[in-house]
Amino acid sequence: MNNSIGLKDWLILIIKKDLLFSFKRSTTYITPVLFFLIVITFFPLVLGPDKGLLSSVSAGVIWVAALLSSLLAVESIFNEDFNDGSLDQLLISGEPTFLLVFAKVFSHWLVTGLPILIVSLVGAGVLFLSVTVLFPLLVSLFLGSIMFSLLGALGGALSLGRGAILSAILVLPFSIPILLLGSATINAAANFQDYSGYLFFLGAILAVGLPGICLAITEALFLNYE
Amino acid sequence: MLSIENFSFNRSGNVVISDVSFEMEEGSNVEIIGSNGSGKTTLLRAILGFIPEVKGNILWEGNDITMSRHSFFKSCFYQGHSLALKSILSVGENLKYSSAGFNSTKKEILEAVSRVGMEGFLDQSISELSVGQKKRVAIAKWLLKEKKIYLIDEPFTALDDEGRKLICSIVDELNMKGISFLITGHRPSSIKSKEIYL
Repeated sequence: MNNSIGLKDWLILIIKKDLLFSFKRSTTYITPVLFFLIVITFFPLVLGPDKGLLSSVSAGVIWVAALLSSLLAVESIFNEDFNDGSLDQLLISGEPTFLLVFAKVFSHWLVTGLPILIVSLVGAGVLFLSVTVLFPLLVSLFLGSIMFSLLGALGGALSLGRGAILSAILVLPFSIPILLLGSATINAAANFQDYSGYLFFLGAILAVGLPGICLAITEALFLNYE
Repeated sequence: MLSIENFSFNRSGNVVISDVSFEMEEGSNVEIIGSNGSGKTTLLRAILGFIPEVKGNILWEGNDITMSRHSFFKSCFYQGHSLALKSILSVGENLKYSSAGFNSTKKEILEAVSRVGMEGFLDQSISELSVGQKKRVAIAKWLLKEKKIYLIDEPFTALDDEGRKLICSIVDELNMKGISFLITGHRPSSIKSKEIYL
């Protein structure tokens, strides 16, 4: 009489359910994108249409906007499931929890990170970034936005059942290396220097961070659970 | 199948549960009865491993549950106070995207919904339902995937007489298949069960 579902089913279930939930509550994916675009467009308004000045600050502006935007949806990663009892079902699935956590982070990235990645092209245009910078911008943001989702999920797990502000405070210091490497990639590309080293560093951080942070999130969830 | 031996739990130095023991066999039921704060939910969540600091033994199929957690989780269904229903999703979506309903056919979901008297509500969102109706949707999950043991926290709360009778008949039906129920409540129900008072 063992009709339990397997790991693959659980992963599909989590991703499909989270995507359906986010699709139905459009603020989950619209808010970060709008916030990102608003922050980006504020700079030309405040600093004036000086191409040189805007392109010199663009790397930092895009990365800080991407970080803050991704934090807006941190609350929805675990707190919703915690409050409605869905997280109980996840933790008693009998499957490796860190893989289920990975599925949650992946669906969060699809809903917040991916749209930001796409609209960053608009941001690049607004801040007068040259076309040659677009490729390193997209690759670095791709790697960095996954890390932001992972760190956001860690903050969400550490502040389970509490406010999103606490998770943001917990997450922000850990995102400094990613911000530095991300903006250094764009600056190097804009100055026609070799930027591959920065991308390798970002990739290495992601390679270590992905399993490591997923395990840390799992532990944080169990620690905060009663 | 599931044995609880000398289970005790203290919170902040106060005794919440003291020396509770019982055993569950296939197709049998146990009702944990107690007032608010007597530790009913705590006992269920301790069995699930959510509360590690407890005294006593919890055995699953003869083995310490901490050593056979995987096998227990694969055999158990848990429904807490929160019903694991997403308010903006419809009844059908909630059942389809639950661990119980995943891979279930539309026909199976329809049958389960009809059994709990919620046919016609399949496309309605959970936020539009009353508390009792939400409870019925949660009960429909019991029918979608059969497990060996069901841990249900206060299933009768917010249900009318008809809803209470529905639970009793579904429990009887699942008992016949060898499924056991560990249920909590404020007073004894009409389910055939061993009653444990906290």
